[in-house]
Amino acid sequence: MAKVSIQLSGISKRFDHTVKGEVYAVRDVNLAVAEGELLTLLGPSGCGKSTTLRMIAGFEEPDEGTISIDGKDVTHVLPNRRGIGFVFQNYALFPHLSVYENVAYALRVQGKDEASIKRAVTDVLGVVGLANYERQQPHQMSGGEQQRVALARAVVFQPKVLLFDEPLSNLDAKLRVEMREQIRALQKRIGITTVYVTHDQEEAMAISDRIAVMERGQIVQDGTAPDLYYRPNTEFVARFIGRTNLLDGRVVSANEVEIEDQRVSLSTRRPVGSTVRLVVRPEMIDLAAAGEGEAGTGRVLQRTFLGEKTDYDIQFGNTKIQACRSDAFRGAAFEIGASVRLSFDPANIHLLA
Amino acid sequence: MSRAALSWSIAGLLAAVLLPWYGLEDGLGSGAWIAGLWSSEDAASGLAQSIFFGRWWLAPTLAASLGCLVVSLLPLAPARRGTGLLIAGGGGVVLFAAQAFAVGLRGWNAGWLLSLLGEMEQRQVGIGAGATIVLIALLSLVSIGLALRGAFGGDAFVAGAMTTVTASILLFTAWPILHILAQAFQDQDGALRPLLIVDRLAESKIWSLRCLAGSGGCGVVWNTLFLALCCGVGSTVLGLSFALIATRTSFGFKKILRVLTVLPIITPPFVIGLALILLFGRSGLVNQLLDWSFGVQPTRWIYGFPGVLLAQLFAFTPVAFLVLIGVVEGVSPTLEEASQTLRANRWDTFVTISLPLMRPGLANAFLVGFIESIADFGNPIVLGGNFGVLSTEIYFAVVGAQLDYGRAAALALLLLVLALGAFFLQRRIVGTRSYATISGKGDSGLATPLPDAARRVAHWIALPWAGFTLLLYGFILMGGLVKVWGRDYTPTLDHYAKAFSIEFSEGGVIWSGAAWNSFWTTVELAAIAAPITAALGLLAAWLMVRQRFAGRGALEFATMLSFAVPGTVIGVAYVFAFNVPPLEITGTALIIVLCFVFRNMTVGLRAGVAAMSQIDRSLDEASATLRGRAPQTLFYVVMPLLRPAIVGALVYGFVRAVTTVSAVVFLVTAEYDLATTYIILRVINGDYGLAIAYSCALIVLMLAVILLIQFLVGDRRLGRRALPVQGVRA
Amino acid sequence: MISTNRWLAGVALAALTLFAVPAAAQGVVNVYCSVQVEWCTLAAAEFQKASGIKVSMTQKGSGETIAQLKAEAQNPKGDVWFGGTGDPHLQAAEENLTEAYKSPKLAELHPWAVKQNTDSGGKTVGIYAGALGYGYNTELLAKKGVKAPACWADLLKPEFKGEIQIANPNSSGTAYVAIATLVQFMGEDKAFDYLKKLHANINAYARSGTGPIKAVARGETGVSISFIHDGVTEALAGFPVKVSTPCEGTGYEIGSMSIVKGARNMANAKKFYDWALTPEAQQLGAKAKQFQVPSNKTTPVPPEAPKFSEIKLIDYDQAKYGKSAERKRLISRWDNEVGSLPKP
Repeated sequence: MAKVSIQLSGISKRFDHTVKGEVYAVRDVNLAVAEGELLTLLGPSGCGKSTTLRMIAGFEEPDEGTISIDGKDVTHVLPNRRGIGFVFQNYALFPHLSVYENVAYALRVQGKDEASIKRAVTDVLGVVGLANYERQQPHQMSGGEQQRVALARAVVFQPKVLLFDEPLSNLDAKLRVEMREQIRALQKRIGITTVYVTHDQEEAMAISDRIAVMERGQIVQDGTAPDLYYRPNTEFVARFIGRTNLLDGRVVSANEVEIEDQRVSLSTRRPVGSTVRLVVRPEMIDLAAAGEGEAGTGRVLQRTFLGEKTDYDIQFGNTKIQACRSDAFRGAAFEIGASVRLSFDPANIHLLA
Repeated sequence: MSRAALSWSIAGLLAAVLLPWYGLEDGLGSGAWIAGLWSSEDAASGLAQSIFFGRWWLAPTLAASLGCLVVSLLPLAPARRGTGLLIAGGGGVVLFAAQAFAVGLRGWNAGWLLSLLGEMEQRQVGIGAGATIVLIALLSLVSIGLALRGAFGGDAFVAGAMTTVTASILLFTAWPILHILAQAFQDQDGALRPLLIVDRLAESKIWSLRCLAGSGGCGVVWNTLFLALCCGVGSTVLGLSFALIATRTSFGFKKILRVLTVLPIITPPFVIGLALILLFGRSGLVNQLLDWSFGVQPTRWIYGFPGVLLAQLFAFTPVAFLVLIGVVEGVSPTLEEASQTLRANRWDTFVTISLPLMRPGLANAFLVGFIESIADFGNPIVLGGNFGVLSTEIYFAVVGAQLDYGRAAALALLLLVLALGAFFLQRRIVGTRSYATISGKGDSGLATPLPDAARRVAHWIALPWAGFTLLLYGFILMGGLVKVWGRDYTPTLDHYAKAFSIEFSEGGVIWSGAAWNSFWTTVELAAIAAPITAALGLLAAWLMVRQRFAGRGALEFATMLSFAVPGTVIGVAYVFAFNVPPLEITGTALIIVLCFVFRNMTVGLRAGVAAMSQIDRSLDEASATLRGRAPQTLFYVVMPLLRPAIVGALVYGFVRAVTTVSAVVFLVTAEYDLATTYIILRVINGDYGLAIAYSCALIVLMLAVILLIQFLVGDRRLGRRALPVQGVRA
Repeated sequence: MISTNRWLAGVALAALTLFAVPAAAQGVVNVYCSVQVEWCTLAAAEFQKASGIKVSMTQKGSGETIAQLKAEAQNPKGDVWFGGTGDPHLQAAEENLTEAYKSPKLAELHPWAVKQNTDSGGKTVGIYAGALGYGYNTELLAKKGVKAPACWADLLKPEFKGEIQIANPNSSGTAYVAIATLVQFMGEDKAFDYLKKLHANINAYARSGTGPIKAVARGETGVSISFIHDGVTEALAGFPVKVSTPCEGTGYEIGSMSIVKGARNMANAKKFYDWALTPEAQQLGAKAKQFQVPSNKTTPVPPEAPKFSEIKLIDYDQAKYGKSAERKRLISRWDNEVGSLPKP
């Protein structure tokens, strides 16, 4: 593994809550981010991901645990001495300064000479595609442009670490995709260690080398996007990342599990007769036309045509199952109320612990 | 930081060796003291004093300074160096204070020291340049020590700012005021008798509710409270109307409106009262007109509650306006737009969104009006008649036939309780909600125009008031240009000539007018005080809003002290505290400047707090991640965004310095006479013409200064289309 | 850190430039002056001319001055207290704030001025006297068709209802002199009966002693009870004011002068004190349009000044009624019996 750049060891942060008393925003979080890696903290709002990020930045001090950057303990170091670039959700551009001055700020306060400031600012504005915007005021720009200024400002002084706090949540969908590609490209190009916070799983999967999913102040699983998608540790992760079917199965033998009335060969060490939870992604269920009332069939409740694929809600025994199919031929779709046969490929079924 | 520690240690030691420890009769200007540094008892340095002149008690402080130098030089880890500096520097400060208070003009100050250590031959006078610098150096070293140990995020600037603000407020606000308030618990001979305060406060004159029964006047407490409530509400409503008209309507005479709202602030006290009497008094124009045209019998209604309230509304509406205009500007149009998309009409939006968002501002404006009213002395004394309030009652306890400081202190305590009660109530009501409205998200938007109904109401409230103000000022202007105001209306320039004549001779210009001396002193001292007031007030505001530290509430409380205590009490408190060593500064310009600064910094502080809580914290954080240190964040990010507050604080600092009376009555001397005290004497002597001519000159001066400040500091450049914009932070 | 240093250094510098202890060098005398400002400046200039000693003159009301003396008692900054009504001077003497001094000029003074000196144990001396009386607005009274008041008894007449102003004795020495006068020639109980009746005609108890006469001048009230020399001043300023003195007899104030205890310029203070008792110095009052009666027998009395010989003066016991205890007692009785009455 590459050199560790950011190391969080057992950090916790408590807040006083007016009703609940003292509550943990972050609880015993351990995390290592490798040099040059882009790690995303993913989770629903209130899960502690922003607080964790703010502790890495130094805006908040952890109540317990230590934070180190490049092997140096920075737990009690002021933000301005940590060498971090931070991109804020609301951009936090200085409203009284021009784009040029915003980007030049970090170099100015470090007392760099005017010529090198000019060079660096021009360079970085070129990189983010804002070469001619130097004289603009932030308010004259679109949201995407402002976010690019914020990005340029955060990297211009070559920080060791780059932090993003939901940077795209104020942008429209199309711009979001564009921007995240730009962020990823820039990050790769300068090879900077990055921690990225978002609640958008698609964004997380698109941009990250690795994702840490947080729930109620704790990291519940971290790994690559496929790891999380195919092998979620918990129901929470399974639900949070992608669409999923959580099915209850019964172990009937050492290599067979029964889902509703259908037997699937699946090797497990669970005792025979016990109930297991299975994660089956919608696209992993095979659908075929079937006769009414046959065993192992379900009934189509709802059909949604999405262009490259069609989503189906299917009543399967007592459970409702989501499935999808890319229809190769027009008109090959199942009608609502139609009977379909569901088949599960054992290789694509994940058994929850 | 270690280098800073070293330089401060050296500075302190140099001051202890190379500068006279005690204050000199004729200051440092002449340079004559240099020869006497080692030989003259008056001019000797701290070191010489402790070795040659038997003032051994200075030695421990000097040793502590030396200790700081040693700690700075030793190769220590930062935290250990910090501990060392904290012990040596803090010890030095304590030793300094101990000796300064223990040994005074007549040897030992306290009886128990005398009996313990015997009669002391030596004595000491007030501290001078040497001692002052040693003290400042020690305090700086303490703050560096704190920062090295990791306090205040290990930021030496924050620690230094903290020490500066705390030490100065303790020394120049808390100490003198607590010193005099303590007299509420002492009898005439200074013996401690805590129960005395019960006697002093248990008078029917203070608490009586007879007015409710329709027989006689109510107690001064109820008078004060009722007046303050009315004034707070009235000035807030008026201020809001003006602010709304100025920012949310297309009213054509906004500039005039702004000038009008500023005028009362820059009017020397008593002038409004006098003008009101001449308008509405029994022989005033209005009454005469009514008498002449309708045969209405002239009455004396202006004397008492209505007159005082009217004058106070004139005086304090502008302050409310200044507080509110920033707030109204800061309310985010996006939120108002959001509300309208939710099918709320303009009026609903105004009532349910805009007004609640302005709530902190409204509460602040009310608080300022309320507290200004209870601390106001000039208006009740001129217009009060039989209507007594606490501040006049206190004044007469001090200077009247009673001469009872104990009673004055007890009443002042009561007044403080009222002011602080209002303060805490305000905090409860406003709570800790975040109303941040300026953030780094520079989107633009247009302020929603006022709904028609609200606009009409605002117009109906504000415009007659503005017209009334114009009338009053026309009258005041005239007063300086006629022979005897209210009697002989022959036009004349005599009053101006008497006050401001200039003669030219071979030697140059001779300022022969009677007013020049006090005029220049006032300008000079106010010009010194204003920037210090603004800087200290805004620095304190920044610390309070942006830094988390224990004792925040206590600090805020201390700044409220000097604002809420009536000027007369402050004046006497300053004389009590600073007429004797260690800080013997009565009779100097310094004490007047200090009085200005610490009496007026509260407004800068409140304006700063209000303005700063509207600036999103992420801007500070952005600066921090961009390697901006705390002072850089303050100077490059916060200050430019605070321009309106800076202008406000500077203007207020200057204007209040020029117009303050009651606090400085005891502090002025022949050498440092001030314009207001001069004017008051003219008024007392019935020389209204000159008083008004002088007041007009001061008004012109202050207008010029305001324009100058506005020009120098400039506007906040947010570059939004018409108004600032923003959404509340999630 | 650099900024911290700069900031603190700036504060230090500001402190330094302002640090200069007030001058107390040779050839200076610091005077607290409680008469009208023209008189103060004139006195300062003339004394400087006559003696070569620089006068540092601070003008303050007598109430403010005694408050200041008390606050500064530990470390006095003033040398002489010139002018102002006698009671606070007596009080200062009582509280040991002033210094006893026997001026060689004492012999030249009127007996009342000398008595002030002996009453106070030599700590103060009379420099002028002013009689209590009525000031009235001629235009207002003419309009109402009311005859000017000439006696204490006149003031109780119904036609003066709501037309009379007197100061509040809690805050004004003038009002206290009026009460003490009434007590002395009527007896205490009768005097308070009188004050209760008078209450019906009073429109306001003003806060300061000169307040009522100024109200008369501006036409805010018809009649005031005040020192008659103050009325003369208003009349000369062009207001329709006339004064009269009560037929039953009236009291008077003795404007006084004291030397501050522990004065830094004691020798100069005494020089000023002696000078202020000379006819040359006492003439200055009239020059400044102040028409009290000077205490030096040989000082020429200006024609505008009310003549003491034409006024029926009671034998006012300054010593007894100048005592703080007596004053406190009378004022609190006034507070309870008169001040608390409902507004007429």
